[in-house]
Amino acid sequence: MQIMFNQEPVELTAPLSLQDFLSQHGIQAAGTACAVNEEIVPKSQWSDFMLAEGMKLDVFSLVAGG
Amino acid sequence: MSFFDEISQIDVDKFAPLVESRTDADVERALSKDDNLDLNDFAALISEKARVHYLRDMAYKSMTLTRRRFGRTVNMYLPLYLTNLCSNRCRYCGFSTANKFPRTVLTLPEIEEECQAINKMGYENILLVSGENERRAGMPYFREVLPIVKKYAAFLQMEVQPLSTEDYAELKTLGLDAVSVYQETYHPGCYKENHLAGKKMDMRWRMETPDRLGQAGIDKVGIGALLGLYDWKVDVMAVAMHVLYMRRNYWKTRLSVSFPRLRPAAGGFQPHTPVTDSKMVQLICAFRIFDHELDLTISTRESADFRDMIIPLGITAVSAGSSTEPGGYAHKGKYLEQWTVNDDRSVDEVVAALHKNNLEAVFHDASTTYFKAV
Amino acid sequence: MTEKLVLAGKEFDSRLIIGTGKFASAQALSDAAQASGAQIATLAVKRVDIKHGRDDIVAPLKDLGITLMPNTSGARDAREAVFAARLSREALGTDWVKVEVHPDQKYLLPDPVETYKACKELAADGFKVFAYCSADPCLCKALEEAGVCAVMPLGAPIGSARGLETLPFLKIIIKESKVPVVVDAGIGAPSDAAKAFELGAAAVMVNTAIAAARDPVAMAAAFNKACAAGREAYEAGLADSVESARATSPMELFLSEAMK
Repeated sequence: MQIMFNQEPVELTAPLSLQDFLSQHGIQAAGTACAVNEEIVPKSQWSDFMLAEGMKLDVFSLVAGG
Repeated sequence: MSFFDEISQIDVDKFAPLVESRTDADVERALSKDDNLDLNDFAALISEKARVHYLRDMAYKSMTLTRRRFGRTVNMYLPLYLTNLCSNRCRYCGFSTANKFPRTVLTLPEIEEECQAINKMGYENILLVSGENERRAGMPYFREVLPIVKKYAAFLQMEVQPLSTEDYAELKTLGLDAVSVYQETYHPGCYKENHLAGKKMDMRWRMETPDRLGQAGIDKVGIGALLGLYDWKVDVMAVAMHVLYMRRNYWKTRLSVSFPRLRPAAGGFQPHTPVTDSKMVQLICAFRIFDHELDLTISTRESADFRDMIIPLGITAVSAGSSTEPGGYAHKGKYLEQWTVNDDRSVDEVVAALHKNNLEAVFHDASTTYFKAV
Repeated sequence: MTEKLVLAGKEFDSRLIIGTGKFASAQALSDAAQASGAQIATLAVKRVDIKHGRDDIVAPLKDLGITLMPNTSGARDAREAVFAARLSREALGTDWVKVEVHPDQKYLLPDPVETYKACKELAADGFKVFAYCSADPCLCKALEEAGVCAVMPLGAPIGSARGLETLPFLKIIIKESKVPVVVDAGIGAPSDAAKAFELGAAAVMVNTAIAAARDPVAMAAAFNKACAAGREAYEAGLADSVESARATSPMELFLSEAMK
């Protein structure tokens, strides 16, 4: 299935929790926030939240800048 | 043209409606200027509108300007009454010839004794005061007195009868640093009414004294009006006009303004238009804002509490532990006082009060001793 | 010792806030932050870049004991700013946020309307809001009433290094404000920072002037000293500052009576 990840299409071979998706991409939880279809998913729910076809996932982190 | 000539060209009574007609906008304009305030600005600063709406602003501005220009110091001076003998008859003064009481002219040994007592009090800035009597306390007397006092005074001031330019120049060589001569009132009618006999009747002679002092090169000149003698609005405006004149014509001369307020004296004279405490505060602040460089002084005519409040606002010189009778330091109570001292605290008490207000009493004016005439 | 800075109930010794953008590397930022003595740093919220990776700056800053203040840079309206704030709260677990909304990409001047809307909503949502805004006294009062913890009026446009161009307005804002005033943006030299403190600013924020200096670490150290000097001067009572803060109550009473 396909989802949008940071505004680019990504193929997922199997349904995946948000937490697993992040781990696969080497994204640490610390300093990171996720939004699906522009709604923030609390960190506490990442393990339970299943990514599905057509979802728009945006993953943000705190970086240098202002 | 002397100042007398200049002020004679106008009707000083017009100063009163000028002050009374000032608006809030006029006051704000005056307060917004950094310098170059004119008489209209000054009129606004002494108006009732200014008192009711802007006095706090004026007080803080005055305090700030004073601290910036003078720092946290207040100069201490002490009056030494040489005589209570006077040939003038002024309706408001305890020394008037009309009042009968024992008169004296201090002898040279008595003066020496007074100076020693004064030095013991810590003073080096001495103001010689006398009634006006040419015969027994004129130039011959002063020629003898000054060298004696100069031994004890780093800064020597006089408040005596008006003298000639040549006389002032001569006294300067004997160590004279500053002269005060208060016009009492700049209103010709009021002046005439109040000065009934003696040379003081001559308004021009008196009013031109600061001119002669400037011409003689005397370092510092003190002017002022007797507040309450006439409508204070008229006289205070005239003093401001006099300040502008002196700044314009005698730029090397330091200027001092004093605020003698009519107080009880033998003879029971009552003020024409009394100046209230709050008005006094306002006048002091107004002068400070008007001219940042002015020395502003108040004497022990004013009460202790009042002095403590107003000194931090803009006063640069005060007396303390004063006596207004001749010989009053070495031998108190022998003679009549010119006016009743209201702040009768000791020097130490006044110095302590200054400290509480984060001000330091300065007895030694370092700048003048470098150029001592003797 | 000067008085401590208190922001959102937290105490700080340093009154210099450092921006983290424009540094050559995370290490350069960390070194400069340390030299500056700053105890607060702002960060942006951006999408992660998997391909290129970015050096983590959160951990090094935290190691220095620095309090993190996420900002909403990149937001072009209130909605985006609120979103960014919520993201950073989620990401860091902090409810501190510096609201900056600049749709104008040329000068990066803050949009007053969107800033106000975002601040109001975020303050109501329990955020500790620090509002970056133009040096507009009315706007600052409105933001204060909306519940921000501090206003951050600009000295000059971001990155312009023109110093306190808005000086007359900063003076008014500082005089009128009940919340701390942090002068932010446009500070080009340590003397600008010192001046801001002499006026009475609670803190200053500096980014470009340090990051873009030839020697950022040395510049950061210079700013450290300038901020301390400016604040010490302010607390010592500048000779030409109005003495109203030091007036005694007897004097105040006396003047009130005299004005009746």
